Amino acid sequence: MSAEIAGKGLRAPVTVTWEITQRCNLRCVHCLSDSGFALDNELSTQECRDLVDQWTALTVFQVNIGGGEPFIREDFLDLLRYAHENGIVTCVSTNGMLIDKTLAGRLSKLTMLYLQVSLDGATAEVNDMIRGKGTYKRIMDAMDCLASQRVPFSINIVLTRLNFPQLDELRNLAKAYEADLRVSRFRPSGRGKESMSWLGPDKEQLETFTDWLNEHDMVRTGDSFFCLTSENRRRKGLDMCGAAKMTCCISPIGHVYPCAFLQEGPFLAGNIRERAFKDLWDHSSVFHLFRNLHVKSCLGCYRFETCRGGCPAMAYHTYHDLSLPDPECLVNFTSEDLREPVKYAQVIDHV
Amino acid sequence: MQSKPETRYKLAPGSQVREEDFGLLFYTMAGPRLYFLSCGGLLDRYFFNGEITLEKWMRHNRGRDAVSKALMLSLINSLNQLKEKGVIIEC
Repeated sequence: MSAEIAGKGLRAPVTVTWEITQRCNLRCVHCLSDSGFALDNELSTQECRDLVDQWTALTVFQVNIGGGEPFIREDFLDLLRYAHENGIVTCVSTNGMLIDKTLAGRLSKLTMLYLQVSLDGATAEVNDMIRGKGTYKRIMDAMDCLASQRVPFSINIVLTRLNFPQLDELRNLAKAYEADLRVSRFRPSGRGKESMSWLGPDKEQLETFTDWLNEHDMVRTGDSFFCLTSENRRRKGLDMCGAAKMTCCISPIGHVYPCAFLQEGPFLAGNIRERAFKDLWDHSSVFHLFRNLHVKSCLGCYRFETCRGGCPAMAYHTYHDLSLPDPECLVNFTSEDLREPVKYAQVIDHV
Repeated sequence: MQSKPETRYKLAPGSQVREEDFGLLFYTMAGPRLYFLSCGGLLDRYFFNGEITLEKWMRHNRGRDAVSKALMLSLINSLNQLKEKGVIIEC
């Protein structure tokens, strides 16, 4: 019922993903947004506050903030407070490099904040291969600081070929910090395009992961594995792509896209410097396309009502065609491996 | 405990609500989770200020004769479910 309602699109997004800066102090090999240096014309503090005002007027419930590393922005804590004062819950994804006791103490006072600390392995050997040398220890130090200041946080991992064997260890690590473990899906966008071939989980791992997820009820996945998860788990939440229906993404320079994994030219809905956010949400042709997207080859599938063809970003990055099914769908696994050699940077015709 | 027509409600701490075409969309920080209440325009967010009972709200907005017993029971049932899930509280 809820998927049916949400599938038609809402008056405003429920959550917005906000990549608040491109600047980052790490160069993770799977980074979805190819973060590194700040862009020349990133939104100013006032522009960010104006955006928050627009979301407040629309009763956007939650803003998920990433980047880049959000805490690099000097105005970031002020922006967080401003969002909270306006009733917007924030969820911040951080690499932890800037978290010390002082910052953790400040964060402990923010009651409308969810914090996600990124970690990509239960050992330095695995994590550092993905996030960079020495980062494992620094992430542990950051989590120690957060724990000492009693800041609730979750540990966010992107499932990869390397950390798949460490899932139990990662779950135990999260448990030791009284943190949730959140497993996100590897998608071949940003630097992930280059690293997917050697770092992305293989078919067998994904199948095993499905069973593992089913056994570990408390592990969170957001909506990213809705094509993989079992029927039992599927019923726990809204399992469908929410792009342009329940959520969208704002880039550091104010570009609006349906999804953080589709920040490419064909999917640009517009820019908030030129059009009001509500206008883009209601009238963008890209958003209309996503609200009416039908994966015809999936229509006869018994799982269609709940996944509706899966992740369009995976289909686009794999086949350059939004009308094809998610290449990592469980049903596809049991028939044939649809994944073809990846070719990128093509423009799809019908957007 | 089952809610009654004379019960007043407000949002639980951490909950938010907004109007949609289908009715009301609730968000609660616990989870976080979403709840869809398909009530059309029968209720809006101001109902959850805790200042008016369902009975008075319906009489004010629909006129007493227009509100069937079945409709009232359906709304009470939905509100009760939201209460059980911790999204709203009685006041």
